[in-house]
This record gives sequence, C-alpha cells and structure tokens, in this order.
Amino acid sequence: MFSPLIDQLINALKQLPGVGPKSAQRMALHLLERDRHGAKKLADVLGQSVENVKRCERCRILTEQTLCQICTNPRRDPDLLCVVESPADVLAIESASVYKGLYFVLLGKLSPIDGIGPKEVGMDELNARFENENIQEVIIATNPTVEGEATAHYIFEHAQKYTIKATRIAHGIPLGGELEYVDGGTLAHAISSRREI
Amino acid sequence: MLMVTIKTTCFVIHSRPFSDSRLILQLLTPNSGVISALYRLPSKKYTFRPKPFEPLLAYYKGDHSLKTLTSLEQEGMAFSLSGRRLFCGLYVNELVQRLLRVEEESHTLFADYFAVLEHLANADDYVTSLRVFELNLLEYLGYAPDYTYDINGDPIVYSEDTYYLYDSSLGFKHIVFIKQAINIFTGQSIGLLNSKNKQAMQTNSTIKRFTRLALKPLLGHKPLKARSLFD
Ligand SMILES: [Zn+2]
Repeated sequence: MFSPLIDQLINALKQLPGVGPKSAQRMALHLLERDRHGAKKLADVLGQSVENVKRCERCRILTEQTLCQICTNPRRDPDLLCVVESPADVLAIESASVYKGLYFVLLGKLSPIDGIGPKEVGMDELNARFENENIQEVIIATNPTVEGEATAHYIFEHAQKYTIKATRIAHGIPLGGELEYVDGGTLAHAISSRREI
Repeated sequence: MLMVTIKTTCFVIHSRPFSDSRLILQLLTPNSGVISALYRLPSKKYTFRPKPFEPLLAYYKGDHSLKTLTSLEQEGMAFSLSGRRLFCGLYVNELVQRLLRVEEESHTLFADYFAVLEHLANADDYVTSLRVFELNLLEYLGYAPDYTYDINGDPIVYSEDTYYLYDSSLGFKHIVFIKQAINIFTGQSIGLLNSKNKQAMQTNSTIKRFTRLALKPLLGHKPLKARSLFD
C-alpha cells in the first residue's frame, strides 16, 4: 500500500478469523473511504470493550460486570449447572432457549499434548462451585471429540465426589462436530434428552 | 523433481488447526516414526474428521519436515476408549509424541501401539497394558537396561531376596539391602520386567515405579501432562 498506517490497519484486520489479505484490504478501504463515521464508532466501541470486558467471576462468560446477567438473574435455576468449552457454546445454547440453569465455561478442553490439563481448564474453580453452591445436576456439554469426552469424564469423576448428578447432552450432534455450529432445534433436543452418566 | 507419494497406515497422535480449512497432524506410522503433515479438511458436507485411536490410510508427499497429505481415510474401526481408558489413551499419545524420533523405522513400536489400544479398549486389566507399552517403548528407544545380567556381567538372580540398584545409564547393580529406596528393585521384579508377564504384573506395583524412573531422564524437566488426569 501507499501508507504505513493503512498497512498497519490491514494487518490488524487480517488477525480476525476468516479474514484474508484481500478482504482485509477491502474492509480498510471501505472504512476510510466510505464510512469514516462508522470507523470512528468501531474504534470507540472496540477500545471500550477491550478496556472493560472481562470474565464473569462465577461462570467466566465475557461481561463488563463482576457477575454476568445470567449469573445474577433470579429466574435462572441455580440447581442446574451446564459446563461448556467456550463462550460461543453458551450463545448457541441460549439461542435454543430451553435451558434455564447456570453455566460454567472451561475456556478449553483437556489436551495433554498441548499442555492443557485440569488446572488450565479451570477445574479448581469448577470444583469450588461444586463445593460451595447447591448444585443438583451438572450437565456436561463439552464437544463430542476425543478431548471433549475426556474432559466430560474428568468432570463426571469430580461431580461424583460431591454426589452431584452428572448428565451428558444427547448427541444428535455429529461426531467431532462442534456445539457452536449445531442448529438450535438439534441443540434443544440434545439438552432435553440428556442422559445420566 | 517429481515427488513420490507415500502410502501408509497411521494413527493421529495430535492435531492442531493451521488455518480455517487446514490442520497440522502428527501421525504415527510404521515406517517413519511420527511425521507432521498438513491436511486440508474436506468440504463441510463430508463429515470425516481425523481423530485419535482410529486406524487411517494416508497418502502423503514431501521431503521436508512438514509433509502434505493428499488423501486420508478411515482404514478400520476406531478403538472406542471411554472414561479412564480414554485418559490412558491420551497418556500413550503424549508419550509417543514426546519420545518418538522422526523418520525412523518403527514397525515394532507401531504394533505395540496397536496392541495397547486394543487392550485399553477391551481388556479388564487395562492398566497393565500401559506398563507393557512403556517397557516396549524403552526397548524401542534403546533405553531398556539389561534385565538378565547386572553391570558386573553376573546373571541377575530373579529372587525375592536379592536386591539391585537401578542406574539409568548403566543398568542394575547388585547390592546388599539396607533400606528401601525409589531405585532399588528385587531380582524378582527384574524377572518380571524381563518376562512382561501381565498376570504377575497386576499385583506388582514396582513395575510402575521402574517405568517412571526409566522414562524420567528421557522426558527431561517437562512432566507428562496426561498424568494430571489421574489425580
Ligand atoms: Zn456469569
């Protein structure tokens, strides 16, 4: 390009998932040539988000509060805890709108070769919730991959120690498929027909 | 120069995303140890995703450390591991990924790997098969000590009241027993290491102590993460 700043902008946009050099260039030119106002707004919101959004101290969803809107909602059922791999899985399950309990986000899955063990996926925090809250059932909604299944079993063993019933969401979900990409209807079915482990 | 396509049976030991549509796979092969290869995921409609513990047939080419897979398909039924057996499978994969050298003939180890998966999937006493795999791996890597002669060249006496000190670089040294230590083994245990008798291994906890000790210098300072699954 003709300007170091534009080059920087294009490189920054390329970091986004699914954005290659061509689309990054298109986005940069669009923002600068046609939508300066939108660009300013994007920059402001992005700046504020980076500054203020952190993880909910209880469930680890992204939020700008100490506790998120799900954790503080009195209509959610505190007897139920659904454990997922990522915040995107929470969005997927919420959009299916059949689940009324609380969440815990692992931020990953057990993968020893990648150096990810129980500590790295927040098992200490999850065990603390098993210990301190009055959870009756933990619904394990990790992905049906090898790592997701290993994670599910690990959580199951720990739930047992606290005599908490553990269930696994039913898999109309394709093997190796990720929750995030499953449609709402299938997901709703998977949650309502969960099975005890 | 024309690049030769190589056909091989393999298992996925590890996979990580390289881009939206490509994975870098680490594959255990019979001829070349663990190789790294770039794999382009098939279109979304076709749901095949390579996963561990499943025998695969691969076609790949390339002379560099990162090969290119031209085709990958299922070659047999996946070993179905669940619960603690799955933890054991992940442990075996971490061992293989950490310790196997690239581009080295690995037929015997491949057969041992196949056997340990089979046991983990089907055997009642699956933990013993981990010990056998560890012993086989030590042998394959050339780090198994002599279980028949001690470091002075005397035959090891496989009895309950003869004692040997294990030195990872030398082997077993006959000693007069004073007090138990982590690196002291009875002649009887060494006999078991030699025979790999599964039945007898079940009741002998010193086998695990030995394999841990023997693998330690090979693993260096970074402990095996999979061990934390069993805590
Ligand atoms: Zn929350």
